[in-house]
Amino acid sequence: MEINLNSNGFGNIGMGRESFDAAPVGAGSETKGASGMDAVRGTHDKVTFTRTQPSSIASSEPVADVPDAALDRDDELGKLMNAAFNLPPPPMPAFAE
Amino acid sequence: MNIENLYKAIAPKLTNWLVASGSDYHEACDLVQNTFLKIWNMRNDLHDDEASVSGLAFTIARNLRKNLARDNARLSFVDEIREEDAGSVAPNALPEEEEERRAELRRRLNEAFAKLPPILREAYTLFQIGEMSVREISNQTGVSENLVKVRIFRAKEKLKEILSDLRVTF
Repeated sequence: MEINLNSNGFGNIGMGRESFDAAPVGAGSETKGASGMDAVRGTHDKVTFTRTQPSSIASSEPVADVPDAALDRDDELGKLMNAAFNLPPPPMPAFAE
Repeated sequence: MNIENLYKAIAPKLTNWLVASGSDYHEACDLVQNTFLKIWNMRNDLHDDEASVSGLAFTIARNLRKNLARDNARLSFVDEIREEDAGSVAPNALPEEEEERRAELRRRLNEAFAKLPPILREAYTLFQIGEMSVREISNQTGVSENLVKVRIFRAKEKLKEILSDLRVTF
């Protein structure tokens, strides 16, 4: 297990080169992160979570170049998926002001 | 925030991603509606762009489902499959026969997904059914874009193998 301490003293345990950096107080900065939370405006001025580099370094999975053509969504498999998972969404709920 | 446009853009793919990830259709519908109610409550802190809200919606839905699974386990209902949920039949304009065919196909595909390692399943379903870009999946899962591509590729190869008895030319 690898433990890294970066300059502000936050440590990362076996997660590759990720870091947690303190944001300037009152800067209204954006949060960036792995959970879609970059949508949140940082008017709360506490701590910003930054992912300076994805954690693939920690993974033992082989990483090779995959040509974009291999990621075609409209190949036969993709068409099969699209045919099966074509369910309608529920009605939109009432959003109260 | 134009919640109506965001709902129209995100709710269909979120619903189908939840079904592809193991929820029955009715549960997926509840989760989608609750996800958007949460987003609506957070509206003053959100940017009004689809990509940002979409990532947040998938994260909220995933967490709500985890909470639901935990609650269900606590109530000891986890092993029960309600008869009315079998096949997850959705209200649809399709003829009954066609809907049955698609429900059967969904069952086969869900069985195939279940045979994939979770990290491959997640990457592939977010990409194909959640319609996320490789970059969005990278942000969502915290791994590099290259690794996301590899996972999608490996998932596709395994799925083709598992589903080889379906009469489809891959």
